[in-house]
Amino acid sequence: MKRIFTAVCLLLLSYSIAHGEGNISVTISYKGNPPTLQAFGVTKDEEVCGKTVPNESLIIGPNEGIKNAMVYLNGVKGEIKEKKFTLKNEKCRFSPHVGFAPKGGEFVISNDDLCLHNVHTYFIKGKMKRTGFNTAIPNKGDQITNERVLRNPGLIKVQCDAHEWMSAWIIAIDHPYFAVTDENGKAEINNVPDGEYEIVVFHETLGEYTKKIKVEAGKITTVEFKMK
Amino acid sequence: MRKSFLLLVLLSSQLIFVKMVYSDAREIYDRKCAGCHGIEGDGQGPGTSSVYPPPRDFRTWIFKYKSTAEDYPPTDEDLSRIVRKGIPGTAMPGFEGILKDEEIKFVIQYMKKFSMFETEEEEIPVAKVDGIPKLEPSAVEKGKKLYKEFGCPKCHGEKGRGDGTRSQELEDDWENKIVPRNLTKGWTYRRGSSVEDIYVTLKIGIPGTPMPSFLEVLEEMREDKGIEVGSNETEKDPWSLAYYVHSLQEEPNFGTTSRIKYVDKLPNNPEDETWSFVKPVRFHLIGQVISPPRNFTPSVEDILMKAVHNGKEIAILVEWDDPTKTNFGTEDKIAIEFPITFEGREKPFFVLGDIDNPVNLWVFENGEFYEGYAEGVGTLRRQINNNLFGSWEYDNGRYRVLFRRLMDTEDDEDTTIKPFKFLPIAFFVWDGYNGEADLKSALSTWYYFVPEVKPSNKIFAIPILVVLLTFTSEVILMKSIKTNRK
Repeated sequence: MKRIFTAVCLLLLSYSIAHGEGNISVTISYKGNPPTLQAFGVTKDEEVCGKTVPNESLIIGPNEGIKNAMVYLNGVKGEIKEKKFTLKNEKCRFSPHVGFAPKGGEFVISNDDLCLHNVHTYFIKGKMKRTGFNTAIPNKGDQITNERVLRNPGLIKVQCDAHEWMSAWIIAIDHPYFAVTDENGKAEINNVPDGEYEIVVFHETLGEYTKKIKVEAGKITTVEFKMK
Repeated sequence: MRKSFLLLVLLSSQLIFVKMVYSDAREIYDRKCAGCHGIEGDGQGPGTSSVYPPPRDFRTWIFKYKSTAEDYPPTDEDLSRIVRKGIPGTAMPGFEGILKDEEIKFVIQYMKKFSMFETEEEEIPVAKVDGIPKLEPSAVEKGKKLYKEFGCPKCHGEKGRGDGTRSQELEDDWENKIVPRNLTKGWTYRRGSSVEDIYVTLKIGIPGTPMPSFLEVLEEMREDKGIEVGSNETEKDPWSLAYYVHSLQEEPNFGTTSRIKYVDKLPNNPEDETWSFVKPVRFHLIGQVISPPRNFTPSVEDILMKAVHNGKEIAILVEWDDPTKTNFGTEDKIAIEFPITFEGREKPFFVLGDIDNPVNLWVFENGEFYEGYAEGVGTLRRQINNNLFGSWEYDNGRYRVLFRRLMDTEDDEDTTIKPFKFLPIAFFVWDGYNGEADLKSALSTWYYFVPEVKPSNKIFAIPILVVLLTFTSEVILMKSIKTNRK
């Protein structure tokens, strides 16, 4: 009896060691001469938007690090605590410009500007896009909640039909293993159960890159991507 | 053993039935729908490039006019209504009487196979409006304010003529160019032009297009006022916008003949007061698709005509909506076409006449008025003697051009306009921004106009005279009968 107990204990122990957690450190950099982007010239509602709005479609920082790349794992399961994603209309840009939203959660949109915006979401599947919802928020302080757009995981593009330069990229996701790169092109995904995964990087201008990685318990797995 | 055998028979018969329905539906789809919507349902059939708006791409399963809330799939009933009735103003025909109801059902189920998104959901909220609240006339003024606050002019324009600053930059889900509705033309609203229809569009938007849903805003407005959802009477504010949009609609006035009134003094410009007393007639325009370069996507769909004459000279005012004023003249352009001679029988070919029946054109281009002569496609030339003049304006998406000319110029290449004589008239309109030039234009078929004669006192005197004459002759007759009897 005792022997069996010890065996079970050992088995459990080995299981817990074998199924520990590891961290992933990602560095994403630009290969080649980084292009310089012009800010968008504002053609309407200048009193709210200002004369120009920054072009955020490709931001390259020190050491060619790419900001706002979206990194996540495929083939992993987990719970997301956050059940809400908030997108602000702020000085005629969406804030945040990129972000992960919980699948099945609420999508909250607010307007901080003294002019009409409309939040037009598109599901992106390959080359095809399809309207998710298109809602007007004409007044400052308006807040709108949509409960359906996040019902399936996937890529969502957000645009404003009133201001053509406004865009945001959101990935609806059903696990907590994701991150957005900072201005150095670095991102960390922590407390990942060990195992083998596919790591995906999506950038709105540079497209999607994937790699196979192995996460080991108690270790940091470093991954580097060079995009162009 | 026997039981399982029976079950097998039952199952296989079921399968055969399903298979039959499927292949039947497929055959119907391939024959009736695929021409435009594509064999794969991607909206890329052989006919796609010739129709505007383009055919629906079923892969996205998004439909503009349906009864369900914005991002929910349409009900089967919505789809079957479209297949049965078609969509007015588009290339989508109605199949009522061509396909049986059962067949339409099968085809709809077959179409669902193309979709990459949900086509059915358990609970589909239906965006329905029960009745319209009666509003005071002041509501329209309130609605006008909302129209501005909600940013409607950005696309639909200050006066609702579809000429907002964003109007030419918009795209739909398929990255096709799409233009905002000209709200003054109620007959072109796809969902319908009643206050109720407009309210539904405001509530759910037009899915797949830049027209957003104002549902949340409208509901919030109600909540702010402590108004219960569904209580129509007090649901005033959001409705005022629908009332205002409805008030922008102009009379269609479609007709075939323009009766030209006599006036003593001819108007000099499009704003002249005289015009407000003249009854307008609107004529349909279509794309010129007979001779190349053809125009499958004309942007101007109708033209409004008003005219007066003073016995010697005629003034014709034409109005049409063009949201884009391109360097006027080099691109935007209009021509009025008349037969040079018309004896009441043979009309010239309506596209620039024919060798036996030449036409006279009154052209306005680049701020200049001139006359043209043509006896068939490819023969159009400027006339040497120009007898035409006029004035024009462009305001908030609308051209108003006034043509003036002598009714009889004694020029062999000019049409002669005589009082009380019907004369054919046709129109060509070019929208430069839409790439229209030469034969690539919008045009009308032949319509008619007739100058009325000068009203004189004779009109009143003659009937009285006739009555008097009849009366006296009757009296004389009666008297003579009486005398005879004696």
